[in-house]
Amino acid sequence: MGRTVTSITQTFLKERAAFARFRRALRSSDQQVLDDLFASAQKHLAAAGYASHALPFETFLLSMLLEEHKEVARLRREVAELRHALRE
Amino acid sequence: MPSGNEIQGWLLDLYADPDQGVIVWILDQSGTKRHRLHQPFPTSFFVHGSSAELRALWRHLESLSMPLQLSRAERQDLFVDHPLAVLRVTAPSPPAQERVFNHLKRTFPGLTYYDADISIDIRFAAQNGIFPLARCRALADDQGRIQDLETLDSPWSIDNPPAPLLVMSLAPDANPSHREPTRLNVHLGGKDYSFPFSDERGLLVKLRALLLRYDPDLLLTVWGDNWLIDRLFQLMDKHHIHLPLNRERGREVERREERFYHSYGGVIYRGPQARLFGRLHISTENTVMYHDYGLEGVFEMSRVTSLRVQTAARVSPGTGISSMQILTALRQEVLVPWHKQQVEWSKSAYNLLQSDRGGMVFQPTVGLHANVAEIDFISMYPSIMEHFNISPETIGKQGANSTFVPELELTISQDHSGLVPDTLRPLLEKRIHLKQALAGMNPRDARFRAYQAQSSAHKWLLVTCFGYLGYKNARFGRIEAHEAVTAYGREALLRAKEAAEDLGFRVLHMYVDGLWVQKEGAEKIADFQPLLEEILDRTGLPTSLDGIYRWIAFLSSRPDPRVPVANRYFGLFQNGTWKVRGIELRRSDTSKWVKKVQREILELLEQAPGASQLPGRLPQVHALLQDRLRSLREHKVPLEELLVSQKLSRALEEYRVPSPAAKAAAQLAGIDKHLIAGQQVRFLYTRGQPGVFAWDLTEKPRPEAIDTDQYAELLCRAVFTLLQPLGVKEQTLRWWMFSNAGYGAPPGFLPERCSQETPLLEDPAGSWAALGPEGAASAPAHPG
Amino acid sequence: MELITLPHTSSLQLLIAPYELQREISLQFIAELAQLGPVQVLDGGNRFDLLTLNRELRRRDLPLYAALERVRVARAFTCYQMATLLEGPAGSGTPTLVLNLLATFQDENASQAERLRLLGICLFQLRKRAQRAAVLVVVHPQPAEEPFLVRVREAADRAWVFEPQPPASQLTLL
Repeated sequence: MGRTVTSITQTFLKERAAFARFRRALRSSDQQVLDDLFASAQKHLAAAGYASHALPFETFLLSMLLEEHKEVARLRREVAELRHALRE
Repeated sequence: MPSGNEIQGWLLDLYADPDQGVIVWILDQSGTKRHRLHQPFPTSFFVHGSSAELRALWRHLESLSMPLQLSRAERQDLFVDHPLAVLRVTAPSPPAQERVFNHLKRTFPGLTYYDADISIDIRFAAQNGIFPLARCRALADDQGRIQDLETLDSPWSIDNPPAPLLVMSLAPDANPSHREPTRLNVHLGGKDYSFPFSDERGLLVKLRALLLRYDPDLLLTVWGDNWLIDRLFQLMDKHHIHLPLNRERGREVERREERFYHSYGGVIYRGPQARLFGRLHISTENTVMYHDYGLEGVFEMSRVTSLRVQTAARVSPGTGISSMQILTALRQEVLVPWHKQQVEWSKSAYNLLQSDRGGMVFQPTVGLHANVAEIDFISMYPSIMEHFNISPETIGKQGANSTFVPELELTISQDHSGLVPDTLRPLLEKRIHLKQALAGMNPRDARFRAYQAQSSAHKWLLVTCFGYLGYKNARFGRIEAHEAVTAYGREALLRAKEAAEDLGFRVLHMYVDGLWVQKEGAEKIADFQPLLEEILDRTGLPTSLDGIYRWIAFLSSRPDPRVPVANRYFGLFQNGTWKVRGIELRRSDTSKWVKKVQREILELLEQAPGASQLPGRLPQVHALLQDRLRSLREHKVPLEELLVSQKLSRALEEYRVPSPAAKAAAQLAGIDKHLIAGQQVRFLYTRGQPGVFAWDLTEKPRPEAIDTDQYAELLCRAVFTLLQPLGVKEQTLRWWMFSNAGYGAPPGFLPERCSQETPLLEDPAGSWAALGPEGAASAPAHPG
Repeated sequence: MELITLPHTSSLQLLIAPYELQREISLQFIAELAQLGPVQVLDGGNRFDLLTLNRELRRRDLPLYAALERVRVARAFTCYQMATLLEGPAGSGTPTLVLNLLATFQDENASQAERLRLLGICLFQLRKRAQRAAVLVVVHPQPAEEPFLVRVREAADRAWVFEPQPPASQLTLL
């Protein structure tokens, strides 16, 4: 019994497929970037599933933003280290 | 002072009889005698309806020419607050009860029936407080009629002296679905016999002699249900020689036909079965999970569920759990419904979104990690059911004491212990007791194997009971209860994660009821103990340390290496054992040859004392690969090892583009061997068209026809699974395997400018390692 | 695209359509009615597409969570459960949508006579509800002689039948 609501993985795949037309009309270099964004969202499927948001795509967007910010924070650190190294 | 004969021994078998009620066979404690006893067994069931309906039913039953006893009674339905007024119908024997009920369900289909379709073993167990293979004492008169029956042990005790069954094993020398067996191999009384099928008469005469002389308690066969018993019957008919397969004279062996039926979107297949009376027949290939827990496990299943041994051997754990619940209900005088099932309460769509989920499955941190502990909740879902009193009748009920289920809008009444927790409690306790005993036990201890087998049986029952709670045909099931269990499960896992992080651990992965944690400096059991305690404190549920990995590799998805996959990993425990999930080694569609090489690579990796020394094993891995590939290309690999087994996903006609399995199935169809959807097909990959060669054809292909490129490719993928976490890039591996590239340096040795994609050549002079970054940059650009 | 506008009158309507169309129409039905008040959904096929429903509700600019609260869902996994569900109390005047009424009746665990008897109970209850509110029953396309389908058609006031479409041919750019 049960298992009526689609699993979070299936939902993710459907949402990604829904943007296939958008992706198609992008330059191939931009397509790579879009793929990276979706890959980031895939890292947090468990949290998205737990949230059980009525509109799951909003959770996926938040996951993408999360990963983007992690990268920004990492780059900031690296820049600071390089600055420091240059001064010496 | 009761007169009569006192008999002590083990309850071997029991079954219904139209005249004598129940026949009971007891194996005498001396081990040399078997007693056939009987007990009259009037059997009751209950009917509920409006007063007018019940009056009409009463009149109808009186008009039948059957000696029935009718009375009014009040009984408890689990899902109704007040006792129900019911009609009690008592038939003189179990077969008579079945007949009456079958008649009534056709003539009065609108009434509600209880206790109507319960098997005799469960009824007998409930009434007498006994179970199959129990040690017991019976008092019987000279005609064998039981006057008193006392149970001397319990299914929950740990060290029961096993019943000294005399076992006769019978095995044809080949799998009848592959080829016609030529001999029947028999083992009995410490001696081995082998009878050729060509001498049919001789075989029958000798088997008959053995059966009469030894009178074994258990016939342990291979292919008994599916072939052997049928064949023996054919021979008996042909030569007019009777084999006393049953101990019960005047009764036929119970033979059930195979059945196919449609059930809710799928086809269910039940194979043929042959059951004996007075003697036991277990057909090992038809015994669910026999390879996991063997005969010991079957006996434990029987004792714990109260199903007679021959039934326990053949049914799924779901039926086992159901029987246990029915037994509990009978003992508590709770009505056992026949078809009335609990329906879901309407939830808001939002609530449905929140409730309809399973366990939490995380995406692991991909890569190689050292000193990782795996902590698991012990039997998480059953523990939750027991701890929080989750039962179909306690859910959604407001009592004087109630608890609230996290996330869902549900309460659980704590006023009374629920039927399901009551049923599970002794099983859980025994499981935990055995787990603790096994943890400290020497594998050479005489009890070790028995404990493991019993533990296995318990594990299957416990794993099933959660699914059963939400099973649509369960008598005592309710989907809200099922959802409450998963809600508590998610809550428990999240609290465990919080506990780990609060104590400074890094959580690498989580999967429904387990988590993998790591902390700088934490390497020994004692380092993780405080976390286990903290988790118990925060969740109320016990956990155990499954092990500490010297290192573990979490793998990513094959098509997209950026994406982690929840159930693919391999790791080496500190005690030297492996845990491997989801990789080729564990998949049924991988050939033996690829599995062997994967295993050999793991054995090489095992020699590294720690994670950082793993790349040091790569030269040996490289050498091993070269050797195995050479064997393949020189056609020295036995064909059996290259066999691939795939499932036929649909009927042959439904394929638009045939898969390899479909092509092989088509070849078999050509020689009139028809496979159906869902069956496994075995084949080899061969050169040219059609590219496959089905295995069960009349001949085998020539070794030169094997598509060695395809197998090399399959091997490459399997090897990459293992080497990727060590930093080896796929292209590098392909050069090693396919371009005769030599092993140059471990990953990370060459500087970034000279990435791994720069080919690694044979370096016989050893001068490669002497080159610094400048030298490496000027190395030639083509593979050899 | 609004394919059909189902009247929201007290009657028993039957929709026979392939899955995609079923989904589109039934979700529109629910979304329309959820604007006005509570809606009862009985799911016999275990495929109730909640997430697409959410999007439909969003499209109509409804406060999403309030609308979701108005949609009450109960699932039946066996024909016995379907009958018990329908025998249960229905809020008087609440419109009802039954998804895939016949799915659970294909289970051969019960005899055909028994399953027809249970279907009879279901249809009786559905007609009772239809006297006070809109009731829509959705089933998959199947042969017209199917005994279960015949009974459902007899009970319905109005039937909408959509045949499965043949696959559209691809236009090539030439």
